[in-house]
Amino acid sequence: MELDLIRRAQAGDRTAFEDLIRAHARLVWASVYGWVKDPAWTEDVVQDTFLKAWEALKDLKQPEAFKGWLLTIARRLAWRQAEISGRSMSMPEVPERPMPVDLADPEEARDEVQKALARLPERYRIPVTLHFLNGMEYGAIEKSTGLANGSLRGLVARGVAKLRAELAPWWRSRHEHS
Amino acid sequence: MNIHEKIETLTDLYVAGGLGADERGEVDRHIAECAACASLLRDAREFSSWAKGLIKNDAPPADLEDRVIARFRAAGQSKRRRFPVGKRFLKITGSIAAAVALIFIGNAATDGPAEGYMAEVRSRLIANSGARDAEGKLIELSIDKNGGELAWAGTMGAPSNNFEYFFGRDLSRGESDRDRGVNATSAGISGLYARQSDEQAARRLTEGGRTNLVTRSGGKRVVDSLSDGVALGIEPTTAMPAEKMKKALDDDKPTAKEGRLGELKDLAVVAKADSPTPAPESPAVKPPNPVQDNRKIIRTAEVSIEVDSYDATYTKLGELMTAEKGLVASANTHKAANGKISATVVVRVPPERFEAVLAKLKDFGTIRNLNVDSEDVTKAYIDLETRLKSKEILAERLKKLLAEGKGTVKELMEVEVQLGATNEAIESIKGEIKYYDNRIGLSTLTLQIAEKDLGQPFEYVQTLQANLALTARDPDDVYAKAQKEIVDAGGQVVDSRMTRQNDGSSTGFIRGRVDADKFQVLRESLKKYGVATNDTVNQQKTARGGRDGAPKPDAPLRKEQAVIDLTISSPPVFVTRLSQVLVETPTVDSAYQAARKAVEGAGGKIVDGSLKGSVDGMQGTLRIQIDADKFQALVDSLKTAGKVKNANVNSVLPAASTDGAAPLLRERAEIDFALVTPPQLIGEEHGLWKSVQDTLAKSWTGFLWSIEKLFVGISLAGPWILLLIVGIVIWRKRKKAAA
Repeated sequence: MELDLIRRAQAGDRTAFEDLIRAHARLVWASVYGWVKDPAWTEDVVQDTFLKAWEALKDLKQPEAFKGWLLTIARRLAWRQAEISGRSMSMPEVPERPMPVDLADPEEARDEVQKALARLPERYRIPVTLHFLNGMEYGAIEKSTGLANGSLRGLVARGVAKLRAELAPWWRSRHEHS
Repeated sequence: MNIHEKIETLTDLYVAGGLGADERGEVDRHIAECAACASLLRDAREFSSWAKGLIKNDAPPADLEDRVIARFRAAGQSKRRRFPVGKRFLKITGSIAAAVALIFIGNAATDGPAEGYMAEVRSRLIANSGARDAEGKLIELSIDKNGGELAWAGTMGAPSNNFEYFFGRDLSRGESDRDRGVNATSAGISGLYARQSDEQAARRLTEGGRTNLVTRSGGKRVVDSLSDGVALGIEPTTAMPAEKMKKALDDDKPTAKEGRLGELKDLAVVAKADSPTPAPESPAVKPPNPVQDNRKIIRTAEVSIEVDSYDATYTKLGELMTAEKGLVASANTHKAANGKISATVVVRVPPERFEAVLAKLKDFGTIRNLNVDSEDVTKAYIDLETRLKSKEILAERLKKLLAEGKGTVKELMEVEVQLGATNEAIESIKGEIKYYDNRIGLSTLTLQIAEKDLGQPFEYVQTLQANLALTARDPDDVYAKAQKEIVDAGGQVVDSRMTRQNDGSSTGFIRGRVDADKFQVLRESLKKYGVATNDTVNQQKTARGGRDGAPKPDAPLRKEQAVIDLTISSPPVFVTRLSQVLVETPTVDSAYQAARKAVEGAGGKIVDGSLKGSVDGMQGTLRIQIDADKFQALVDSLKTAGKVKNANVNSVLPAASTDGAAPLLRERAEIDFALVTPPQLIGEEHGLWKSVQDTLAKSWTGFLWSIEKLFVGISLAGPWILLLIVGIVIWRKRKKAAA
């Protein structure tokens, strides 16, 4: 059905493309969020991505590769916007394991979660972001990423485990503090 | 992989909802019995909500897709690429038909015209209700069929700011709409209910051209996940034959946009929509507000308090809970070594008393940290209710089908399977609703209570450790005496060892423990046993059970037993005299043994010794070490063993000493002592008789030798000769016989 939608959108069917937006907006969002770490900016990039995709859709030779193609556009847009605006979009640095930050400040703790999330390899990050930030149920993630149950399971389990390991100092100190 | 490891790998997936019913059941069963794994799961769950809570401000808006689409449409209009409405409508219908077709892909064979009706109903619903113009959409539409009979249930949604447009007419017209509802019933749509979520909490703030949904609650910025708006539940009354439905649909062609939706069965408008866009310059600061009716908000708070006494606080907390109709859900206390108590107490209070209780907590002690959180689950809650309703209807239908018992066994089996799945879903939804009810009905306050000075050390520990190295003339003696000294001082020897080198030196090590007050005395008395080459004392004071920066001068000082590490070693070996003595004696053997005895008797040490014999006679050598003062006497006594052929003495002066051990240099002497047999003189016995004797003896020996060899020869050759003879005899006999 998706291939059908893509072909119709390629032929100029806007409603088909709107269905594609519904199906993929969150996936793109999750992917972009990992690079830019700012929700409002992410949304801008997502919107631009789909506009761009609509214009360029006719040139897409392999409809099966739509998802990857979309994410490539998103990544390119994110980088270009970063260049134009001078916003930093540095790939997350390797953590030097500082002392756990003051947990009284939720902003700092949030930053750590954000960074840890961004450090995950993309194939883990997208499902984890979809779950943690978009509140998507497992089945919805499966549908959105188009991954078969077996591989998604592994990605979610490992992704969350990695995230836990990364955040262990903060998570622990949350228990211990005071 | 054992079961625990397996559960561990599944916990995160469990929390993320990625497990099938089988595995989930397995985990549930296991954690019911295994506290460790239950705690792992709890950990995973807590982590998930902790991390989600921290970054929830970053969550994308719930209407992300709609916003992207709105932008997409706006962009299309500006480029004049919009398609004619009619064509567009056809396309919508087409895609819906495709979608519906997919839903029924599993049982397409018997479907007949059902998809067609569904698509028809669907597009009619969208058009009639004005959903399309109000940017609404059909969220869920499910069909329930038995043979030719059809019924359906579904949910529709639209943005809440289109509430009036979407639904207002039906609300205002009252009775006449009821009539329409009856009309619509003939098209198979009977029930309609709507819910409108509270718009008050979710306000739009325009920030740099970007729209964010922001609410302020208790001073904390929360992006509200609620922007759903109107949800319509459509439910069937009775199923009707497909033909009849087709007719009904045909008869009921819509004439205008205003809808013939159906009978308004249940209308729960939770809150009427406010003006959706307050002025940006007046951010909506919502006062800490008790929950309004029907708003589903889960409120939680985490409070860290420092108090004087936990027990008193707990009592006060109990009284407060009684007064506020709350309850203490759990309390875990931990008593630190310094007697201070820290505790985690979870209390549940009615939501309307939440703020009051929070305020009263200030009287308990010093608030160190306060974290108030609220989660609006209205949307999720309503979704659940809607889903429950449609599932229940489906279950009813299925039960009815089963009760009627029409159809083949296979079909009935399928119905049964589907009924099971539906019931399972219903139970799961009910469970979720129950969970929410509990969380909403009572707000949760987690109190981290710590008594003042929790971080202070409860004692200081002083440790003493001495390193003492002694050089002593007789390490073995000191080794024994030092151990006795330690034991006499009331201490104990925890480690001791003695190593000896073959040059006669030795090193002893003793580790002793003794009470701190006897430490100095013992150390002094040990020092008397030799010359100290190293004497250091390490003293340390450490705080126990405390944190840095929380000193407590009046904490007791505990002195641990002092440790003395004592090393005793011999002075360096030093040879001062070297002597070589060569003595000739016919009885080397006995002289050698006598010399060894003499050395031992004189207190010397034999470093090396050998005794060997050869054609020329015996030879014995000894290398002896002895104290210098006994050197001369030993040399003299060794000389008496026989005829002294060679004797010399070399004196070696000691090198200048560099360490304090000089007075204890071992003055040693070394003697190389050799014993040899005197050389044998050739021809001591000679003469004619001797020559004859020798010759006879030799010839006798030669005779005996030849006899021996003869026997050897016979035994080797005999059998062969015998064989040859026998062969010849036989040959001859045959010849004769032939002749």
